[in-house]
Amino acid sequence: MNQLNAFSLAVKSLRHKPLTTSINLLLMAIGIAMMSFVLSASQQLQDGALRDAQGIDLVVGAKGSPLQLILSSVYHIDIPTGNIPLAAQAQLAQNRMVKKVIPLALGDSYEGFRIVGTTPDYVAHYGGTLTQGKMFEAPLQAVLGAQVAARTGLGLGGSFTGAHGLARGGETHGDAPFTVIGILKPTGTVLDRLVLTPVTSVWRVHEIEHGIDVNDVQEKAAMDEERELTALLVQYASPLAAAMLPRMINNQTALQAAQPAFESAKLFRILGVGVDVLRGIAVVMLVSAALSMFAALYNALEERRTDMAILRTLGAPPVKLLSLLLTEGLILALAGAAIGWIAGHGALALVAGMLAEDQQFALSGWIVAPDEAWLALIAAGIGIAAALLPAVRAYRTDIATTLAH
Amino acid sequence: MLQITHLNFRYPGSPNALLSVPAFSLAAGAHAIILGPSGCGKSTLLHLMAAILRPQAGVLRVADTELGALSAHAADAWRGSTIGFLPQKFALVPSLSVLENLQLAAYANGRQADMNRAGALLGAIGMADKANAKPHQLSQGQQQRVAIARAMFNRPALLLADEPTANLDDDACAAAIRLMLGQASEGGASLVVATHDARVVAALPTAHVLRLGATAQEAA
Repeated sequence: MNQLNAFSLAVKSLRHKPLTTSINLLLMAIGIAMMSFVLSASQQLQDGALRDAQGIDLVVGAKGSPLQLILSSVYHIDIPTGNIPLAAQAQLAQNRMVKKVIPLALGDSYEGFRIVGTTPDYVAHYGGTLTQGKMFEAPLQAVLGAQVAARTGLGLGGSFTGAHGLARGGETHGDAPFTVIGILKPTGTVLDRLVLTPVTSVWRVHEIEHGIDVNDVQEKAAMDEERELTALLVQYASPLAAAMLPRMINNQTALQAAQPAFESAKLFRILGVGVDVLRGIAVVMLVSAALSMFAALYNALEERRTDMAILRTLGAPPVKLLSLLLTEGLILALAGAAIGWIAGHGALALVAGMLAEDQQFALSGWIVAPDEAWLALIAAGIGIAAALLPAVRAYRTDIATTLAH
Repeated sequence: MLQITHLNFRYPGSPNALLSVPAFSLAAGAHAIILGPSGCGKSTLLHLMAAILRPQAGVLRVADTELGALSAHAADAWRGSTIGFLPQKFALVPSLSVLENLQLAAYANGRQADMNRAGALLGAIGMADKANAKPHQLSQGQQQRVAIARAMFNRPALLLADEPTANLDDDACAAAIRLMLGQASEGGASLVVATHDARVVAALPTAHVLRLGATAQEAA
């Protein structure tokens, strides 16, 4: 048989009141679940947004909402603002303040995954490496991001046709099938969710669509004049560019320049309101958990005054009663927090699964935000705070009067 | 075992209630009965003997310790190792089993519970098969026997019992007294019982009697 200690005594006392204990565990768990959910999800979204925008100083696209331009061209979760002339790429590349320009041609998708016309530079920018096959060279060759390959089941040599638009179920371009020529390793970036192909593919698909004969020199020349891109990802050559280039582009051309850092900060300010609301509700839950635990421990103490006096007659010093009650509060709070933490991340895993269906964000249920470490401290603080007054009363138990009544 | 000289105690805030014991002594292993009507201070005297309360005047020596001189902390440790206290209520902890209620005596005292001791006591109170029962599953008499076993767990030199038979029928009363006497003589301990139960007086013919008057409580 085991020896008794403060821990086992506290656990036995809590189990003696299953209903009260369950309610307190539940309240605590809900508060901590919301907290850990919000902390982990917002941390992952911010980290993901940071990773996807890493090294992209400026995005140049058609006039419109700068946020939309960033969402469509960096995160690939919105429709583009429009198209820009192909010549813009060459012009920008000549600028001495520009180090690197990566072209993007968007518009089609395959099973909800975006088909991005670009150059191998884009893949290299995110540190993408091939696990199978080779990099695209010619029109209608496609390299699949890791998640695309996994979810569509397409392998090397497989062929598919893009659908117009970015959602599932758009009109397909049946006459211009792509061939899978390479598959990328997972990068943990937006690259995993993209189908990559040369810019020329995107043009070719639409040429075939419109019945343009590529062998007709005149028609082709006319076509070349009108060729367009969706956006350009720009890396600065010097910090000076940040001060000059965006203003120059926005003022002097028909183009729009948007800064991912600035726009995503704006986005997170908007999202931050929602995050703050959730956090506020979680705080209210935690406060009610603390009050409920306090009420439960306080009432339980009234019933247990004789127990406390008995412990004293058996030789227990007052501080032993104090620590017994604090232990009870701590166990209740930390057990509730542990349940809540698992529930919060379980819910996040569920949401992550649903988002993965939509090919939207890459969330994981089990990534722990550094801030979550605070939750253990917060829970311990709540446990001690709730138990403190009952514990002090237990400490002050007047043995003689308690036993006399 | 017990020496009382000119002991005076008055509850703070009740100037008229005075407990006064001019002289009383008890040899080691001898037993005593404290008699008197309800409210005469029998419980208070037991609390004084257990160093739960402190005398305001006079000398109170229990087991060679002058209780008036003990610090609060020393009093707790002394009580845990020297006194077995049986309160008027049986006061078993409801969330703990019979065995765990016995172990509580060791826990309170900061010691490892001696499991052989626990087993022997359970046998002595005839409840070896009820070790894992919860208090609410026991009869009044059984609960009282567990409380006695718990009070005796740390092998005290003095067992103080406050109205130990008040809620017991004759059989349970006899069993409780037998148990207390048996445990006391086994460890050479003294037994001091505060009671107004004639059955206890009859069962302890050799016990010294300390009679407290009604005036002790309400001197005015």
